[in-house]
Amino acid sequence: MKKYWVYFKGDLQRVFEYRADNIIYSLSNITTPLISLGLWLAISNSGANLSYSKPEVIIYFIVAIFVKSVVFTWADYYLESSILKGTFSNSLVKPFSVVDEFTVHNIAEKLFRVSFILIIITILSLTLLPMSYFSSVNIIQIILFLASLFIASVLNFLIDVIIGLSTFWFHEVEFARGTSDFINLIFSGKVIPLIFMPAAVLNLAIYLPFRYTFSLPIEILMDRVIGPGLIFAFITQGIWLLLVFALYKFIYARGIKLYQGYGT
Amino acid sequence: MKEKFKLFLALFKFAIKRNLENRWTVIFKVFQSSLSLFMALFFINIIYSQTQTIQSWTKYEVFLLTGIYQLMVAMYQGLFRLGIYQLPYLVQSGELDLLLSKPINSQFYISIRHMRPYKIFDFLPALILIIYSLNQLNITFNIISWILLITTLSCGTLIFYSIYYMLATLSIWLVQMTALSNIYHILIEPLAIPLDIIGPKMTYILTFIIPMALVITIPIKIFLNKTPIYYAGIGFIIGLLLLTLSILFWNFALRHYTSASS
Repeated sequence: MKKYWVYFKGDLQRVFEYRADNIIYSLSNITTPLISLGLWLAISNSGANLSYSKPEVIIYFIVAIFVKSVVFTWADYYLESSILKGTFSNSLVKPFSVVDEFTVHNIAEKLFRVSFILIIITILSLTLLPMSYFSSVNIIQIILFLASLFIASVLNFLIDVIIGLSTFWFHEVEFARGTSDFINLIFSGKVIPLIFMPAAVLNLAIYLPFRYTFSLPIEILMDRVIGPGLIFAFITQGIWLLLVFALYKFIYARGIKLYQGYGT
Repeated sequence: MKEKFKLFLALFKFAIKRNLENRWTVIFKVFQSSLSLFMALFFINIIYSQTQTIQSWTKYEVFLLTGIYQLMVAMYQGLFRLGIYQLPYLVQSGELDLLLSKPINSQFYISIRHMRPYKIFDFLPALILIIYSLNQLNITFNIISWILLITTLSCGTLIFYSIYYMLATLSIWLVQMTALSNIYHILIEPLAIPLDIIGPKMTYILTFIIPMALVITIPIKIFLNKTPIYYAGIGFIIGLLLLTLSILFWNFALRHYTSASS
């Protein structure tokens, strides 16, 4: 445990050293949900008959901003450069794998970015939402939200790690990443809330992992997933987590044998 | 001027050679950008299945905007994006010293150092989309409105370039500025939607204070006869103003440049 703590402290210091950079990164992370918020508000104002009311649209994207900053990761780039540059060798001789290293780094970064984003979210909610909305959320919803958000961030992290580890085979991550981003945009609800999607997409989305990395926590907090649907959602999210974890272990064990230690 | 043109040509030839070296990456990237165009169309279709218009923008008008957006993005990326993106690295490594000692305009050289001619392939899907949406909108060819569109879009390019360059100039003081590529995304991504839909107050801010609406949205609105023509003049003035400002700011920053190398 101590080794994690040492790494964590170092990472946290680094994050604070480059705070301007980190603030820009977190701002760029929320541009897309902010644009989507503006877009869907305009659609709602144009008198469209949406499945979400106007305050619900606002809540969806404000929570989306939060969720996006919590689940964000760039493990794929980190692993790619580590494997290609050969720094991967360093961590092979340590009792601390490169994935552990990035996990700690990711948590430190998230801590900084999420606290910064919370300021923006507070300002946004206070200016855009009626006061009565804050009293209507109950504690159970918040606990379920946090639980699914936690699983979502681990799931998203592991998928990203798997993409990064594909460097062992493909020597670059661009293609796997591009494909995953592309599918993600449709099925995760980042740009268009899944409820606005055509039925075909929606029916597919509940079986694919992408909804469980982003949209599910928001839907839970909005009280849109209830009863059997909620149980189904949690079970599916859990199954995906197990599957992806097993895949990660498998790929890591296989990939490490392929690793040749380029560079110095 | 003649020298600048010669330099541009030389760099362009060099860039073509570099692109030909990495053929597969180029083919993949072109495939990727066409895919993202299709994705945008898919999303617009979903949005317009919920509503007829978004604050006076009809579906095919948004198609037109998407096409022009893709065209402009390809142009920015082909011309100056990568060059400016590398400015912080030049500062960090001290390579800027070498560059400054050359007998050429440093801002001009930095901006077009890394052109990517293969972006020209991105023009094709964008142009097809533009022609398709013009057909759907039943717009008859009118030479004056086309000249006006090209002029206003050029002014928009000046505005975008100047703002991006000024932000990149900050790296002279900040030195560590790896987030510059994300600044580009913060600037460019909002341009993909019509920026006047958020409300009149926001439109005002985005026209006169942070003039991002003048980059793509307003040129198209002028083209579609939805905005009075004098906005073209406003765009021209703001464009020239920002370009001058970016040159002044760059020269001011250079006076504060303390080289990184020994």
